[in-house]
Amino acid sequence: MKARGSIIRRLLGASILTLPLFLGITGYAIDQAHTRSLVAAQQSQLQLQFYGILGVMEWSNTQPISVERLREPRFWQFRSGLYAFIHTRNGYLQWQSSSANSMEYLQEAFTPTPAGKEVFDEIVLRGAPYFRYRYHVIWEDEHGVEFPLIFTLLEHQDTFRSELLSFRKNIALWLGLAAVVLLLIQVIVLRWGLRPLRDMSRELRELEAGKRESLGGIYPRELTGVTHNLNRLLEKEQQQRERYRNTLGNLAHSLKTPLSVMRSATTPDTDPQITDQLDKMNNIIAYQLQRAVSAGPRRLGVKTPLRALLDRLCQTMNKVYLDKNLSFNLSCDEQHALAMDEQDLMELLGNLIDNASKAAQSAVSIEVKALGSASVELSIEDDGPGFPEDKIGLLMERGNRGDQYGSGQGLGLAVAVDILNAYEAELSIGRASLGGAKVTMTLPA
Amino acid sequence: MRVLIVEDEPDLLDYLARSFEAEGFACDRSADGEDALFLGEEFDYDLAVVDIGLPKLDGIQVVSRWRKNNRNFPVLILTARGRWQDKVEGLEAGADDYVVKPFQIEEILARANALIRRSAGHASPEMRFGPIIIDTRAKTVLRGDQRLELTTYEYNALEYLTHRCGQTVSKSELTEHLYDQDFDRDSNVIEVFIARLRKKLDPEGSLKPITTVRGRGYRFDLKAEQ
Repeated sequence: MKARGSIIRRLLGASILTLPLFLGITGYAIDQAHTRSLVAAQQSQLQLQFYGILGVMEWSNTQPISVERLREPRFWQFRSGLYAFIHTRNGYLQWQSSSANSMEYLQEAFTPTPAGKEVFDEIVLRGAPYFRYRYHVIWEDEHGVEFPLIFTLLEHQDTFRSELLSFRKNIALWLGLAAVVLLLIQVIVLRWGLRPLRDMSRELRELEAGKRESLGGIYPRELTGVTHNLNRLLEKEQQQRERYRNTLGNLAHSLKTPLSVMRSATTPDTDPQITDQLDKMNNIIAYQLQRAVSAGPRRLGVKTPLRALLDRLCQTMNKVYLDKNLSFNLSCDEQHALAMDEQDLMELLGNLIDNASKAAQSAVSIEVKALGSASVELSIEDDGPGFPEDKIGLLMERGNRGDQYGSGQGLGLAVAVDILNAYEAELSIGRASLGGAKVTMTLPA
Repeated sequence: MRVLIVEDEPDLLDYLARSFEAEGFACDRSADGEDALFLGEEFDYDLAVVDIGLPKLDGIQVVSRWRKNNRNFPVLILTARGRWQDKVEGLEAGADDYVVKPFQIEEILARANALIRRSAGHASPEMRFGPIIIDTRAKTVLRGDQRLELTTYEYNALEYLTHRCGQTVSKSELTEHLYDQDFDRDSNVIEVFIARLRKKLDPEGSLKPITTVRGRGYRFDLKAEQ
């Protein structure tokens, strides 16, 4: 089944998508607040400049307005960026700062304003942006005559804009850094937070590879339900398998013992039909029980080490066929393990090695070779008479014997073929280099 | 030869015991694991036939405990399940051979004889002691070309002594292995067997196969030829 991405990638993807949005909103809010405070600072600065002009301004009915003692040097420097004008209500220029000399276009900034009210705004003159501060003052002379005067102060936005740009660069840099750090922290937190899932996945892989029997790690509360249930399922399956086998074993015992008694009651004079039927019953019971006991393929659980099992079977055969003084040549590395139930494997190999031992004159050879990582080729050879080639197909059916040595029920090869079928494994019969029969199987590793 | 038969099905136990007795074996019977364990530890058998599925204590445990207690007589196990797992476990526990139920009694008897012979260190069913040839399968004895007519007890006494050739076998041991538990052990029937055997095996008195060891028993002195 195809995996649907990784959880870490999903969460990181979501973070990568949402983080810029949040950081963008944050950056925008900070920028707006900073801009507003800078503009307010500009306003109060222009207001101060206005008060400065008002404080040093000299005026009389007969003399033009004089503002000689202004402290702010930028009013005296030509094109300094800070300009001041005093107009009458009708727009007649009464005074302008030296900085605005020969910059008549700046007077376009004049617009009438209500008396006694300060106005602060922005204006663009000849493509250049300015802050504009205006104040309509009603001046009264000693005779009580009122003279309305409109003060206009302009400040070029160059400094303001460069300061704002530098601030924006700074804030972008810091927010970018914060984004990277946040993402890194998130990766670390995610890896730490998802570690139990990774551990579980590793243990499941080990379970599948047959290296462990159950999930053994200590998991957080959220996962214990899953691991506990999986372990219980595995345990229950194993118990059921055992119970099934025991029940079938007991059934075999309770059917075969009466059969033995019935056979013991027969004499050479007994009707051969009765003894034939007894033999048939026995064969059917033996074959069907052997078939039913096979567990079939398993995907989870510990693999069965092959070498130890073959050693046990060879020792058993040595004991059973002691008189024949057979030599068992076993070529199997320790690391070979099969994804088969131990009892199925023992039944399969027990039957086949027993057949080979019965047929052999002096030697039985067992060879195991790895075929990639997923299967193993196992061959059993003997130096007996071998199978007649025209009967090989029939041999795999139950009750058909390939031997003349008499003992057993002729079920061994048929039971082996049934077990192999359950595991979708293959068996082939041929002639051995030792001269006898060779049985070769491809088994799941 | 004295055999212990352990089987919980009474009819089958009776059939097995009768079949062994008909072949000249002295049979003790047991129907459960605990009793079998006791008998095997108490008496020195030449063979035990043990069913795996026994009440109280299963056959594999019985054999395993005998072996732990150095009871080394050969054991033939009977298994109904026929699974290799059972056969391998039985043989690993210390049994020497197995027979799957239902069995042909001839197969059990043949395997029993082979086990007894093997346990005495004889590889072949035919044992040669100079001119005396004993065929343990046919249970016949030849002296040269001449077949000797021995009764079942005479044959069994001879086979028992030859399995322990060179060793002194006491009269009571011989009695135990030839007769079942109910036999009167004080009778002098063993002496009569030995006298008859000597006469049949060595009519001229030149071979002297059986020596009387005063106060201790009898010894078969001829050496087996391979």
